[in-house]
Amino acid sequence: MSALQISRLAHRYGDTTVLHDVDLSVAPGEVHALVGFNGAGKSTLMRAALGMIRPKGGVVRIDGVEVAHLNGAGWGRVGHLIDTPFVYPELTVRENLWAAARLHGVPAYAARARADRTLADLELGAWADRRASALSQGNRQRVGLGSAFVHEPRLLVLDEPTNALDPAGVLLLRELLLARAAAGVAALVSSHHLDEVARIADRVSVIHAGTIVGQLDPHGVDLERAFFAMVHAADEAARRVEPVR
Amino acid sequence: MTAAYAVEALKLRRSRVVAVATVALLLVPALLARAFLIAAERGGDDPMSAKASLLLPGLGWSGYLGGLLQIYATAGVVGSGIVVGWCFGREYADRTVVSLYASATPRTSVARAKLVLLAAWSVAVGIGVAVAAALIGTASGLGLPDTADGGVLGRLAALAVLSGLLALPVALPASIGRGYLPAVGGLMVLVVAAQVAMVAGAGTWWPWSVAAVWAMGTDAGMEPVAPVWLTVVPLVAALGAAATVAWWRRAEVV
Repeated sequence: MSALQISRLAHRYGDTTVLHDVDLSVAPGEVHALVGFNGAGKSTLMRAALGMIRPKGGVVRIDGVEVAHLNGAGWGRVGHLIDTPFVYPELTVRENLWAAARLHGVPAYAARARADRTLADLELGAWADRRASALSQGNRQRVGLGSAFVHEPRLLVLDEPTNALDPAGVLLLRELLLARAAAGVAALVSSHHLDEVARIADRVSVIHAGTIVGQLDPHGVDLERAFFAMVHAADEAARRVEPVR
Repeated sequence: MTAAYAVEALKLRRSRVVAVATVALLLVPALLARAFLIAAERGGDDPMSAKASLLLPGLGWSGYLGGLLQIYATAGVVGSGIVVGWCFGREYADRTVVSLYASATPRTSVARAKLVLLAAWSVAVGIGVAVAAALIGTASGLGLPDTADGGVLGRLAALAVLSGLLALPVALPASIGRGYLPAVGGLMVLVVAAQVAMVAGAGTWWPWSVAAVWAMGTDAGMEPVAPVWLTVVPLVAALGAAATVAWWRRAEVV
């Protein structure tokens, strides 16, 4: 059974269709990357996958359960970083991770230890007791990633997780993600960086104008050329089916 | 303590907005009232002394506490409303609300925890306001309050608690408007409506006026308020809280 199964997903804002007939799945132990231009629909797809918006059509299932019916325990197996890192500026880094752990269902007696382990995993120990308001943007992103990882979820949904990270942070995230995947965690990751995607993904789906237009081989040569060719072909196909006025 | 209460309590404890508002509510109205009393007792011909004499219902403790009740009637809702508006509006302004979705802790639990803790904070502030007023009055040379003054201090504490409850509905515009500014706008509407209600003679039943009219009492020239009318305060607080929780249940990320 897929950790995440998206079937015929459709959504629009007003008259603008932002998702159309999207099918996508992520298996346990798999890193599935989603690549596309700005506005292609990556973030909307992820928001729908996490129940943050109610799509106009289609179904999203996590561990076989429709997201509308997923209970607290089910959501406790999900970690995500969408939009903005989970960082409260008045709390210290350690307190932010503790808060994320508690809200994601980690019992009180274990939350402190989980926060400490995540501090070590993301090499945030030097900032552990500093207020988050004093952090650089890159370290705020690390805290946000820590908040997604701290409760040891079985499904990760990460929207542009390398945003603001320095090269060391990118490397750290890659190692963490691959280690989690090796332990059976499913991950859906969006990115603009095709070279980064090639290093971490088992599958790469290209989303364009709200629909999945094809798959890229993450181990193929010249991923960028293949990506642009796929997007161009999708545009051409869309032009051909447009009605003549 | 459940996760939502534990996390919200930590956020409130660490917040500078809450700390500053709490200190301001405890000290500023009392110090202002004491300053007005000093001006009134001076009894000179200057405009400040004349205004202070008109504002205060008397001299000594009765003048000080009477002025304090008048000041707190507005300052209490404004100060508490800023805290409520910050508590809810910041989740949208800082975009942290997105992380509260897809979580083992439902957003409704987070919203409820905020509202319950803010109500508890109002009770603590209410007690603190009365204690601070008594200490400031005593320390500034008014002597010890007598039994009647003690009764007024009790009414001040009640007004402070009720002001906190009256500010809870500000959570709704903060949530619907997704930020601080809608909260401030909602707060201004409540304060202005209370003033209009007083002028229009509806102060004895309008929820955002009735607590102040009751607390100031007939000694200050207010109309008598049947105590049963005070129940509209927790009623509107509960309605505002329920509407806010319902909004948090239904609202999508935008």
